[in-house]
Amino acid sequence: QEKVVTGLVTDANDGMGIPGVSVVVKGTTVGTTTDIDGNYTLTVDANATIIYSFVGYRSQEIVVGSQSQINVILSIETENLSEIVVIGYGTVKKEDKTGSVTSVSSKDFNKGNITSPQDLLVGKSSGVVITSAGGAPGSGSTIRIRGGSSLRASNDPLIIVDGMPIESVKNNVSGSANALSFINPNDIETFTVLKDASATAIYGSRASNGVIIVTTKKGAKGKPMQVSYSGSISVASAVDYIDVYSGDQLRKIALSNTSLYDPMNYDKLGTENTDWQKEIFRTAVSHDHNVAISGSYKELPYRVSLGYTDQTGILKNTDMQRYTGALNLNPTFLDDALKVNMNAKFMMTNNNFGDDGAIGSAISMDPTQPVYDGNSTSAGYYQWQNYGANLGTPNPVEQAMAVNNKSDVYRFVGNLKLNYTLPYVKGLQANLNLATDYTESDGQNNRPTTSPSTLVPSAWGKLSDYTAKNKNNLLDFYLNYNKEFNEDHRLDVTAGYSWQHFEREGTDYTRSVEDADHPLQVDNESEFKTENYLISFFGRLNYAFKNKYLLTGTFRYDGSSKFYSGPSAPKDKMWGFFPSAAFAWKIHEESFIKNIDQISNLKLRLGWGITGQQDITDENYPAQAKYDISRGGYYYYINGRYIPTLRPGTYDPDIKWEETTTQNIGVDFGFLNNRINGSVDYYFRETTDMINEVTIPSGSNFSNTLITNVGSLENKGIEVSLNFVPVSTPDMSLNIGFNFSHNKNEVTKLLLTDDPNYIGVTEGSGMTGVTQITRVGEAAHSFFVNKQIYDSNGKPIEGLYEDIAGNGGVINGDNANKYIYHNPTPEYTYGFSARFNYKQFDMSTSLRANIGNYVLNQVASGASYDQMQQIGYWKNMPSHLSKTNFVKRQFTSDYFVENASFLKMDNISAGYTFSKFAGQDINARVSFTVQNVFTITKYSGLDPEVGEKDDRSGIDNNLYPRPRTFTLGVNLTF
Amino acid sequence: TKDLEVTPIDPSQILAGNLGDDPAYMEQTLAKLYASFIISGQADGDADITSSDDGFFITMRALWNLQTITTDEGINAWGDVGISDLNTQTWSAQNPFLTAVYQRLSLSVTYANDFLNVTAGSTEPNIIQYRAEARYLRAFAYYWLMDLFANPPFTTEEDGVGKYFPEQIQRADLFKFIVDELKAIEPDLGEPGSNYPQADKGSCWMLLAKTYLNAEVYTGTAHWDDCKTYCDKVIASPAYSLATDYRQNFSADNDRGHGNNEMIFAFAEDGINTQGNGGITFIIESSSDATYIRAEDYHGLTSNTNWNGNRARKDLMNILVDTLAVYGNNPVPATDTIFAQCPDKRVFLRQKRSINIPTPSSSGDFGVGVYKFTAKNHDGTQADNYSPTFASTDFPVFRLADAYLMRAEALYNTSGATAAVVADINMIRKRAYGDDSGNISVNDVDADFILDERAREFYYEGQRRTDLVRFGKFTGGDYVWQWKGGTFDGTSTSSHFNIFPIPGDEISANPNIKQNDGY
Repeated sequence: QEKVVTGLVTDANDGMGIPGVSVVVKGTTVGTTTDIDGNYTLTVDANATIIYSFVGYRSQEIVVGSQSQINVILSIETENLSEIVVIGYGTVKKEDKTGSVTSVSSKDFNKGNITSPQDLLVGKSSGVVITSAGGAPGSGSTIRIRGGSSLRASNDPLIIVDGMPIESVKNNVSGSANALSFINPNDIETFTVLKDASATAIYGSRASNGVIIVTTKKGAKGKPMQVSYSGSISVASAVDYIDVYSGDQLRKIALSNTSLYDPMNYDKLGTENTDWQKEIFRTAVSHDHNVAISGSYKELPYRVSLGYTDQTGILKNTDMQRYTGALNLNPTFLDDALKVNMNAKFMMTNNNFGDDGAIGSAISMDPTQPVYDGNSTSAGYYQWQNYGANLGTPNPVEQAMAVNNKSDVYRFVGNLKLNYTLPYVKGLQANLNLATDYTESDGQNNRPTTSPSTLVPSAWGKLSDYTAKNKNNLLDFYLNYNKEFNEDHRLDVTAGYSWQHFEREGTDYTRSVEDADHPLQVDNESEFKTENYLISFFGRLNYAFKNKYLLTGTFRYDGSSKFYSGPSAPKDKMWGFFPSAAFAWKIHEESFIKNIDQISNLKLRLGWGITGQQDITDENYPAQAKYDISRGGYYYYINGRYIPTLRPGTYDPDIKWEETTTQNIGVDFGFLNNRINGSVDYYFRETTDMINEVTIPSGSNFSNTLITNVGSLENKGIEVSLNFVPVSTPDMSLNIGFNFSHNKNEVTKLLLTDDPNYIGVTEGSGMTGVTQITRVGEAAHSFFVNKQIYDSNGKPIEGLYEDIAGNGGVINGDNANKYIYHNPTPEYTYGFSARFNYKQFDMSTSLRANIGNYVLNQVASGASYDQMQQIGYWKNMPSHLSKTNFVKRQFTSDYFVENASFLKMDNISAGYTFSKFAGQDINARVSFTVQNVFTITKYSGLDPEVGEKDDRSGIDNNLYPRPRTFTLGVNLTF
Repeated sequence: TKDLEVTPIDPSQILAGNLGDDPAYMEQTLAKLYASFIISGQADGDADITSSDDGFFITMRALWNLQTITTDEGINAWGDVGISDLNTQTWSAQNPFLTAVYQRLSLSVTYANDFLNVTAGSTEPNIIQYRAEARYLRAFAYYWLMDLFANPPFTTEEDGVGKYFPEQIQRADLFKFIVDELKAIEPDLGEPGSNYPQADKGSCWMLLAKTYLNAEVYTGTAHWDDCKTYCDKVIASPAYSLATDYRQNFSADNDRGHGNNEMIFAFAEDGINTQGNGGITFIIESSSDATYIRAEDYHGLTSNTNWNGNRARKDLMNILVDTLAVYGNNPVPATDTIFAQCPDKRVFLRQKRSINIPTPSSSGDFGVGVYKFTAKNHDGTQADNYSPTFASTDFPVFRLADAYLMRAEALYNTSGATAAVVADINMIRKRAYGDDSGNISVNDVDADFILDERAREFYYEGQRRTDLVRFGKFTGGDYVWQWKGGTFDGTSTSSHFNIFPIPGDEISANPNIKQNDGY
């Protein structure tokens, strides 16, 4: 018996009608959505059950019965177990997931002036450590999930955007600071982080470092058009500067140390008191605007968005403008049997990178000198070179301002997904995903002829143009079969094929400025082009018994062109097999628990799997013997002319996958109607056939080192995440999230041979000496330093170190007398976030702590009195020097390895929502956010979070400082 | 799955199997064998070996350090790891300079082995000559491995490429291999002076003479007659004659193309085409400073200059400048900063802040500056292919003067101070003094005189350590110099320092290699 039901759906929080709520008859596709005021009308059978659902709210089911008006109050969900979680090649209900999978949705994202997607996720998920490269506009980040499974190969997670695995971060095109910045953060719906192998192994050879799946927002069927605008204006400034000597202080030090300094140099001291750091930094104002239109045009759901970001860096002459556009269409055809999902994203970025080398120069530049002296050979800037010191510190202001280091990056990412429900076989669906990712960049890094030779070595000015192009094409096809045999058995099987091709090319042309008096000095033109393919077969089986016992098995059979070693090589060496298995037990479904009201969720998860790593070196042909031609300037004179040389390159015909085996045990729990919920995971990961660059026997290959499979390493750790909802009333709610991770990394094998005396892989530079080591039995990249001896006042005695080897002789800098002293990786990481709503007022904050991470403060260790006087010029030092009073630099002293544990408040935000705005039916929210609010640390340098630079981590070397940012934002929806 | 069988699509990469496609590839592969000694690699940032600094560890630069700053000739002021150990003869197997020399010389051997494999069986005349040159460069690399490290790993074209452990060869066996090899290739090499800077018959004779000169050090048995035999061949060749101006050998126009027929074998450098911070650019820049020897003034290098590291110890000055004779029994007057009163025109020294060096790592402003090499032409004009940063001066490996002094030493050791010995030495001294005023007589000649004369002629050319070892004066207490052994006046050092240790990296990587005694 059919009847018409009407009603109003309102928000439990504020009593307002909710537009766009899905109102569907259970078990059918019959339904509608609420209108702008939250009203709906639906014709149904009296026996029907109606499901009311809306993103972010807890769904409700109501049996119609005799009612003709059904008003529903939806409340914001605290933890929705029926929520769908995106996993590889499919989705799973949150309550049915068997692996270690974390999902972070837009309501939990970090707030503020965020231009890059990964910054939304910082501190939000246990086991995920995201460290930004610094405070430069649009700068990228390193993302590490569970500590990284490799030493030499990539440790970046696989990132998948709307079903498309994108290029790894390190293959980012030149001219682009950040591989992820093509996605406007405002377009992102959720991040799903797949952490253990049972979840990631379906991505096989790219999954060892975890997988992050980014899902962007879509239009919804039957929804009226909704327009939203969000905009912000931000003001950023440096939190602090490095404390260096003033001009007066430097003059005093210089003049009072006649035994150390050559009085002949005293006339080179100037009379100024220039604060070079103040000269190069500024207060930066940025703004950001986004418009999104979504809804349904007849049967065609759509979402269109446009974004514009203008970000200004606190270092002068650094900025970025970005334009983004995104279009999503997801119509259905053939009575919903064919679902189409089309995404197109476009981005254009204009980067101005400036020269962050000016930051280091501002610390070293003599403060007794002026910014300008009017000398025309250097365009008016004071330059040491004009006074005879060719190696003198470049004028930081000129260094920052006179460079033209800009690029334009264009990127298009598009995909077309077809999902077809096959007739005749119930539950069988075919999926096809075609995707393309195209990036093009061009840029230049030029310096005028008035720049000093320390900035344009070997040439009269510098002109450098480059271009780059990345192409990535994907075809996925898979079948999915989903069947419930009876109440007790549920089966979900997926099997498919994937083909992906990556192509990269680029050009670089560096030369000097040519004029009548200056012939072309440097003329280096180069180009590169490379490609690789991945071909895979994959499958997954999910089986549920009595909705209590869940079993998942996956496999991937991956072929990678990187392991092709020539026509005579066995074909199977290009192929790797990566299986996984997982079991979950929904304990709360058992009768002995089911009656305990306090326990709303309790699940045990066990997982095991093998993943691979094929991103092992920077090149795509490591197994093939080949010759590299040399560039201009690297020629030799043969048969009467200069010709390029051909060098045989090292290669390893037997090179193969790294393999990581992961075991994971986890518990998900929820108490008191899930107002307290969370999970605990313990994992053990072992990487074998680990790629390392090892010193090889001289004479056996074409270099002194070879990248090959030699080592093994282990990571074990524990992760906890907890969510509390202490208050949840219609007027007021408080959500608190907390996560904790502990990871221990140990290298277990490093060499082809088993030399017990092998010191390990050392890291350092010719200038600063060896200061880090990767050694069997220790954490990777441990600090390797001399043990400082202190006087009775606790002051380090210059150059005096413990004779650990006991052989006497020179101790300072001698590896035999060094020892392992901590490492740069945090032992424990904590994340804390809170959201508070009171009526129309809301507030949120995120805090983060790293404990047990150490940093070598190279800014301080590079300071010594003897370095103040250089060949024909003076140099400033961090005033930390007054604490040590070192005459000579002590690069390898453990004194400079500092505990860099910290607690940071990443952001705090407050907002107020107006339901009527300017008398119109416009929902408006105004917010104010502070980012980088405070840092509590014992570390003596500028920022304890130093990130990675030049492939080294844990070294403080004048980072682009992360600014403190104040943002005023407004969101309008109508 | 055919898609997986990819080969390089970049035109700058040539698959090994395609080397035969273009005859130019063979010339370019040969060019690499030469370039491996004098420049870092294929491009800025693309060095042949992995090390902490591309420029520091170029073969001829690191080799120069091992041969020079370990002796009375030089001392370096920089604080980089390993330098102070070389300054004071206290190095260990971890020293990055000796590690780099060892690895790079072995790599030059491996490149040559590969070239011989790739060209095996060719009957083309030019390829036959290239193969002889490749074997010459391999012998040259082995000569230095034998001289510095005594017992290196030994591979030939018979050995493959991959992951394996080469066997160690003993010093005397390697001596035999080098000598046999050089004799075998002699007929296939170009005529003397015919294709400079490539190796030719003259280069071959010089390397044979040099190997025989030091035979007693390498094998325990002297070969003075053999040394003389090959010096005779060089001296008799019409292709070679002493340059009129000693300085031309160390100037941008020191190559045979500029008419310098004294040059027998050299590694070419060029401001535009063969660049890098190795070789002569390094010697010039590291010996320049902002106050005393400005590279802008002395050498015409204006960019990235005056590194202020190397200078000579006063002991070298005392050999070069006979202060008693020149200054009439008085100390050198501070006013004669460049020893202008010295009649020997080989003295390119300059007094710095003080002749003594107060501590082993004192600033380069102390000690005795050396500006023997220059990036200008010998008449002071600007070089062809001038660059403000990189010198175009070739690195002289063998020049005719050495044939005369080697022959003199061989004759002295077989028949004592004779007129023939004096005649050879006076050939050199006459050029140095510009007339006969510096000529010596039979009574002046003894072993010490020959060693000192070699210092006067070849200082800063990377020969000193080998010469001191041969005369038994490198280690021990017979001859000490400032800061030898780490003390101001110098002190005796252990004889095991006559040979460098096998690098610790190699001992870890190859179980077949035994460390040298004493390390």
